[in-house]
Amino acid sequence: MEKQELEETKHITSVSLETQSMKTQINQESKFKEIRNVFMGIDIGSVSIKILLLDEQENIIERLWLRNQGSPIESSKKGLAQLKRQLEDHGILNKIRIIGVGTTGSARYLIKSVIGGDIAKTEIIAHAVAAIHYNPEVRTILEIGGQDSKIIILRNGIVSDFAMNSVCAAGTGSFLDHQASRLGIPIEKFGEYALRASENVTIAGRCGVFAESDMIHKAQMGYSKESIIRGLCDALVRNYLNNVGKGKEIEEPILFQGGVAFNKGLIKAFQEELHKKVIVPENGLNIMMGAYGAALLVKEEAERTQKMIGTWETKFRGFDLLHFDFETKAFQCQGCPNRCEVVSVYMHKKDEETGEEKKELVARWGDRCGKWAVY
Amino acid sequence: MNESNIPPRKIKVGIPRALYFYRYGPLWVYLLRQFQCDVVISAPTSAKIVEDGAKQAISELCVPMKLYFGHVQALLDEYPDLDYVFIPRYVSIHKNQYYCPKFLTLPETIKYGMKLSVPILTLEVNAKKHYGIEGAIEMGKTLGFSLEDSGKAWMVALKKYNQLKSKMNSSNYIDILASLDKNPNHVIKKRKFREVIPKKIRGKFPLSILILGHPYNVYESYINMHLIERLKTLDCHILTIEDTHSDQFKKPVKINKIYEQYWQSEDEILKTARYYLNEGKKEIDGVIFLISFACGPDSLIEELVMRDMKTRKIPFLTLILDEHSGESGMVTRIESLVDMIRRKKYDSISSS
Repeated sequence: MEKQELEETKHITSVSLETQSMKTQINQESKFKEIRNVFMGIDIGSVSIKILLLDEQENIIERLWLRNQGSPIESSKKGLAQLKRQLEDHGILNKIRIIGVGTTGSARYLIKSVIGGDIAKTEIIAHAVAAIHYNPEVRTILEIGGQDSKIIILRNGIVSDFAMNSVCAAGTGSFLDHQASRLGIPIEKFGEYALRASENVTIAGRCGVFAESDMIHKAQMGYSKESIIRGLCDALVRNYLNNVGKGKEIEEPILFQGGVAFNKGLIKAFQEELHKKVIVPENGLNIMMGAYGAALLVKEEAERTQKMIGTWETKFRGFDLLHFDFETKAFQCQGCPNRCEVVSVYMHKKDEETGEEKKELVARWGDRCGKWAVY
Repeated sequence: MNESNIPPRKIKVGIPRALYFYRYGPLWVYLLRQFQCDVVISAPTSAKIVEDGAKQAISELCVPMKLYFGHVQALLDEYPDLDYVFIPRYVSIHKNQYYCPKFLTLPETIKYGMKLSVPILTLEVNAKKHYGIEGAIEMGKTLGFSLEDSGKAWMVALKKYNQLKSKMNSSNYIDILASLDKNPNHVIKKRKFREVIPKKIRGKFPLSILILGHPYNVYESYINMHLIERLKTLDCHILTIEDTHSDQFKKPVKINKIYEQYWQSEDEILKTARYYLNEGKKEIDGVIFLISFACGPDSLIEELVMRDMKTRKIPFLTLILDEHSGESGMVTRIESLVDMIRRKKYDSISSS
């Protein structure tokens, strides 16, 4: 019974976040007079996929957020299908032309090969570029995602320093997700619970495993759920600032990005620990910043390439991609003692005229020596 | 073995391709060849060597040490007819400066840690024992050479090594080390990489990156996941300690008024860092410091170098190496660093 409830809350989480981000995205002047060139940014991380369309004037035209299901390939196909639906709903599918695709996130290279991306940039750069566009004055970015956390220091609109969590994922989104479901509360209520807490509880936040045992211990001592959640938020902030933010000059304006920034308890904990104001990009843009940055970066790249060599052409395969099947195959190379696991991604494409099925290798990697590599 | 009883075949000595092989490998090979030995070198690091090393060594050791265990094992497996395993003992090359204790006790650590049945041939390098010469004489004695011959052998090997050293730089270093190994199965294949920079733009915004760290981290391309090659595909020019003039290394670096730099192995890193902080500041765009997980001296020096770089506003990235590291985390970090520096350059070009 309880398990079923949990499943349901999870489901609600993804839907509610989706609508939250969808509500704000509809560009009021969406009845385009002529075909607009747009750039697509895709951020595919451990937990979710984010897609955002940007026109040449840098207006956000469309955006979506989906929880990852199955492989990144499936997720990206689902994401594209959803994007197509949304564009149709808004009546602008035929009014746009995608002229550049940028990918970011941990599966950026895979997705770039699969959907035909033009550039793949790291999350650090994508988040930084997006933040500068959101607030040109920004000096610090705190970003906590599904499985990693980072800090980016900017000075005069330029990234001057960054750090990522090194060996441990304590305090990232997945950990909070897990704790929320263990306590039986929906993740989006996490922040509210923390704000309601009346007392301070210290939770050991050094390590996710120890934090969990400490939480159980504190619950058994009789502390309320609210206090424990607040204690957890405080512990995560301490852990983040001591590990990722170690030695960094955290100066205002501070932007807090990533899915975890929905958690009001964490925002409060950051503000109290830093004695500084922490800004979260509005309208759910906090989770879209990576995709936003990727779109900005591909736009920049297109403009620069155009200027330098006179032409720019996207490698995007188009929405036809939705009709293609992708297949991955793995084998262990026996060429040397390294025994690398090599993964190949094939695209099955049906020829419209002849009905013949063609199989094309779009990517192959995993080998250390590079003899199999196809990108 | 006494002098009159010279064996009919050459004595076969194996050198593990780990730790200071990446610094003094050529010297050892020259010396052993002066002593008429047949020199073999363990295979380049592979997943199996890492695994064997991690299994045999205690878990608290740093990765390079674990690799050393793995390479000794690889030697024993590949060459069952080995007469000696060559395991040097590096104590100091300057008075009052010492190598890491793991280098001081390396022969014993391996002998007892692995219960080695093959005898160890060692070379002690100790500033208090006239640097390498006493060690070489000791070694010659074991191999049946007279004091004079041994001394001569050392001098010849050292001279050859110094000649080679003056020609070494970061781009030929790996090839020079590889050329010491005559085994055709040990050829290190060049790895192909994803071209991140489009062909048409390549070479237009080159960056110059200084890689700091111990030679056994910087040139051990298995454990650092081909850092140098990767940076080159990102359109970066590489500088290492090998590219820095040795005149820079004559004065010891003082950390503060009281303490002189104590760790020999960190000395060259600090000196190189100091050079690029001052005279060579214009030659570099950024710095990557490779440190091994669980390395005590590194953890201290990294902090010092980081602070210095910060005051001079030189972009700095630390990469911590261990045997479990995944490629993706490292790729993200180096791509971010390179992009960060390159964007700065774009901005300064477009604003000027």
